[in-house]
Amino acid sequence: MKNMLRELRTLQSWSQSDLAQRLGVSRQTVNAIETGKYDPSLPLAFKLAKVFEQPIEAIFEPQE
Amino acid sequence: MNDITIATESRESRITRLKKALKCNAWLFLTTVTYLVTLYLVRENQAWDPKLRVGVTLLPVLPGLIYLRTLWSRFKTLDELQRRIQLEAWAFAMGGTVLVSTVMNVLNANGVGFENYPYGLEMGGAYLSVFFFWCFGVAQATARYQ
Repeated sequence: MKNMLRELRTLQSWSQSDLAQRLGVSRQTVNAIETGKYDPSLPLAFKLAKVFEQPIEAIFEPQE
Repeated sequence: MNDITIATESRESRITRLKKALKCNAWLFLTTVTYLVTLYLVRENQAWDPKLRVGVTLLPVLPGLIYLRTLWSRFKTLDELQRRIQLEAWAFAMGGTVLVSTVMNVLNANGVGFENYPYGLEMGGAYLSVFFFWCFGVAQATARYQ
């Protein structure tokens, strides 16, 4: 799964730790999602959508 | 300056995590030590009252239960990626220990086994094996998601 997390986070000038704190997860989890090594659960994906005020499909895109 | 602060926080949080892990696994270590001590005591004191022997033999269960409780309460505080890492590490630890135990038992059954371990890993050996494989599993899973 590809995602726009790093770009959206950078736009907000947040560090990975800042975002992790807002999501209630570890910085390691944010990093793993950003690098595409871990796909978040549906509840976490919804949290991300809420934090960035974007629909889920604007953040995540299935890989071909 | 901001980068330095982030790096410091990150290192501190890593140290905190390591401390929590050590505290949690201290109970596993204590369980193993208690087992080895009680094993020695019961073997060396055959004349003890059978009830006392049973009580002493079952002593390692106490730190073992505390370890399980600590493990469970710690598991509940983890986020979803950390839970996945732990589950993978535990699956690896269980699988690895079953494999080692099976190999030892099969070798022993065929008479080409370990003279000093005629009954396979036994309990203390199983604890150590789970601990070893768990450490390896956590390291491997953590590296995979970094």
